[in-house]
Amino acid sequence: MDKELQLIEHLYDEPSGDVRPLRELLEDPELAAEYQALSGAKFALDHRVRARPPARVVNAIVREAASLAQTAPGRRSDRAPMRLMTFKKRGLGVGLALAAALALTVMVNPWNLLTPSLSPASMADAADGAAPAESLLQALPPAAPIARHAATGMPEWDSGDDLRRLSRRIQSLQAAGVDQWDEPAVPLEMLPTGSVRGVTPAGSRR
Amino acid sequence: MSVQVLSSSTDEQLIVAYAQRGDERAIRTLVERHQDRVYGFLLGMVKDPSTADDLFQETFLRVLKALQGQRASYTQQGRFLGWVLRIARNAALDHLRTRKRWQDVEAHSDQDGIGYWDQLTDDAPLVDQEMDQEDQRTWLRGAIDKLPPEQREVLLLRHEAELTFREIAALTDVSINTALGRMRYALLNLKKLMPADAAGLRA
Repeated sequence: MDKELQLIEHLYDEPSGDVRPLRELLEDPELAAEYQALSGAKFALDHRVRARPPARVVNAIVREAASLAQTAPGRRSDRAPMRLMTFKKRGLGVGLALAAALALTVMVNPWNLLTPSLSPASMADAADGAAPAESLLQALPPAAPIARHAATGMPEWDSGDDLRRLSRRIQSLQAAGVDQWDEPAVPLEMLPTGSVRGVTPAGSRR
Repeated sequence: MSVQVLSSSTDEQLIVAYAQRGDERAIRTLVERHQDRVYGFLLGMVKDPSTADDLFQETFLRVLKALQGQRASYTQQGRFLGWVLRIARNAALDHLRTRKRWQDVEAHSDQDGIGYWDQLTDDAPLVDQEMDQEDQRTWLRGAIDKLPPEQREVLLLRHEAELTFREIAALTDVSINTALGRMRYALLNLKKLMPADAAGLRA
């Protein structure tokens, strides 16, 4: 880089890696004179009065901002809050989850080792008078016998009639335009949430 | 979000506050935080306060539309000010192109072959009495206006917008050496225009 340009970098305190020290550069009388001239002009610029836009201009921008925020489609305020979780916080979350899983494993496994089998009798004893599971099952009404197809021996519900009925029902609903089944799933954020009665994203609940 | 919290918030946090909740105070804080840099640059470019007002407003309206997703050019990966200044620069250049004012000063005149900048005398006393602050302001503005456009732009981006030379090089799509060279010539030319006995202007 030219020595003159190195002077500019020193003047604005932005020296890059390959810039020679200022003291070394100023040993050259021509460079020293130029540096003095550059410094004089920079000093005038540094002490100038700054311009500022009129307050009415800023107010107009803010008014427009409010108007745009009101009319913007799908205002983000109705959506779940933007995730600003940093990598560090994510790492902390993952670490906590792993620690909890490890703690659960340590607590459960020895208990399983110490109690290899639990007979219904021992469970009944441990339940302190509560009815064992077998007695609860016996108390249930008997299930209706599954009808079987006479020719195939397959259960009746597997004959395909119900499936065909369901298919016809779907086709009739599609023809009626009740729903567009072929369309891809709509994200929750796309649902209308403008009013209080609309869907409230879980993230926005207090 | 309180005013104190707003003022201490980063640009990105203010953008999120506006984009998500429509918080207009966040936008006011953001505009007021950068108004001197953006407006100073625009005024230096177009030289007319009324036009600078319009361009300043137009710049931030484009910013607002982008933040509302209508013109998605802000990726939140760079500096907000750099992005705003890119919009402001484009707005200023569009304005100047329509008025055909973005033309460099001829390096050499057709008649005598002497360049405009060669005619300027170094350290020539232009005034005999001390200038007050208003005179200084007027003189400096006039001197900056006389600079060739490329030099003026780099000077404004460094002194008004407070960008680094690396940022200036990226914004104006030139090498950093070119940006530094333009700044050097801008300062030397400004020095030539500087009144010898201008009080308060000398280091």
